Parts: sequence; structure tokens; C-alpha cells
Amino acid sequence: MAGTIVADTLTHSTAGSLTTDYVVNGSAKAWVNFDTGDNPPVADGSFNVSSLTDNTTEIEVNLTSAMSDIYYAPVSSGGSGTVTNPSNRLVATNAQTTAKVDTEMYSAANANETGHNHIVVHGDLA
Amino acid sequence: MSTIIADNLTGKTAAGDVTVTSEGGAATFQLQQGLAKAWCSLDDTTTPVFFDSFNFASVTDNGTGNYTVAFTNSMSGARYSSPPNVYSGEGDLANISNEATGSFRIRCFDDASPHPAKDIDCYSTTHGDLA
Repeated sequence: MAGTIVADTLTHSTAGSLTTDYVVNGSAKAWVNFDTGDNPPVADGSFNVSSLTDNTTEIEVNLTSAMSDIYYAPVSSGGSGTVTNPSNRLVATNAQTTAKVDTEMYSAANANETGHNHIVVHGDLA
Repeated sequence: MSTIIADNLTGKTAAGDVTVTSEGGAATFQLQQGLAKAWCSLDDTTTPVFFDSFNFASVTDNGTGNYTVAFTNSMSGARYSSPPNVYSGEGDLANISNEATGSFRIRCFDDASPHPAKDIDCYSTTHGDLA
């Protein structure tokens, strides 16, 4: 049987102490890595992501457990995998609903582009 | 108020799965998956160094705005999530490339089109599975 510990503070023997609200509030609630060049896009690595929805230029990242409101923080950036040439791509990320993050990747010329998407979500779960 | 004094947290049912109750109480999530596995704040000097970092062993200068940062403890696969960004008062930006289990590159670019590579302080936080 799994046990439950109810505590306010975690103390390491040498590294210091941390109140457990930092564990709950400070943990990422989702992360995902996917390539918009895949058709359909799939999560190559993820946590708390149930699926990706391809809306042509826009990819919807669907969360397994929803956030408590839409005022969470999805942090994102683009990448190019093993391509060594500069990719200089932007990823626009929008906390669309409590259960969905919308993303869109652009090139330096402000055109929709493909590439690796790196997204991390912080905030409060429902 | 209670305090846990311990050097290790290990799941009872599965060693790598410690469950945390969400802020709203309606869900639980896996502690290990939510923790950042590495982060760095990089000082772009002649020889780049870390201002500060966690689980990064080294930074290598590959050229203008092109830095390889190597983990101390490697990730389990190359498809982790590590969005970088730059210290900038302009529209400069950063990308990630060459993702591998032991390292990746942070690539920094100027805000002016066509966005040439630029030496600039930058940072990144890595989420994913450790090996």
C-alpha cells in the first residue's frame, strides 16, 4: 500500500530546506517536445499532455489534467534538432483554455515554419 | 507544521514516482516529471561561463551566439523540453539545436532582420527524464 506524507517543509542534510508549497507551486505542470514537420505532429517527449491537434499552422497541446484558470505560464522556444544552421525561429504560445495551449512557429521572415517546439507549462492545476 | 528531514525521496510503489496533490486538489501529478532537471544562466564573455547553473558541467563556445551546454547527469533521450531565451532589451531571440542526451546548443540571434547570430547572455531550463 502506498503511503501519504503530509508536511510543510523538506530539509536536506546539506542542501538546505524548502517549504513544500515551492514543490507544489514550483513544479512544471506540463512539458512537451514535438516537431511541427511531422504529419500529424506527435509528442516525442511529454508530461501531462494527452494529445496534439493539428490546425494547419497552429498546433493545439491538449493537457491531461487541466489548469485551474487560463492565467498560467506556457514558456516556449523553437529549435532545429540536429540541423546546425541557424534556425532563428519564434514560437508563439497562447494559454487558450484551461485544458489547451495553442502554439505557432514562425521563421525569421515571419512566415509559418516547421521545427522542434519546446514548451514548459507552469501554473496551478485544477 | 511538520518537517521532513531526508536526503532522498523515493516512491513506495514505484521508486521513480512520488505523487503530489495539485493546488486545487482535483488532480495529482508526478513530482519527478515536474521538476526541472537542469538550468543555466550563461555569461557571454570572451570565454563563455555560467553565471550560475544546476546539473550543467560545461559550456563550449562554437562561434558567434552558438554555445554547447553539457549536462552533468544526462537525459534519457534527446526529446526533452529546454526552451532558451536571451537577456535583451531588444527583440533578440534564442533557439535550441543539436539536442542530445548529454548536451544541446543554445543559438542566439539579433533582432534585426535577417537575424544574424549574436553573442549575448542567455539562459535555459530543462524538463524531461533523466537517464
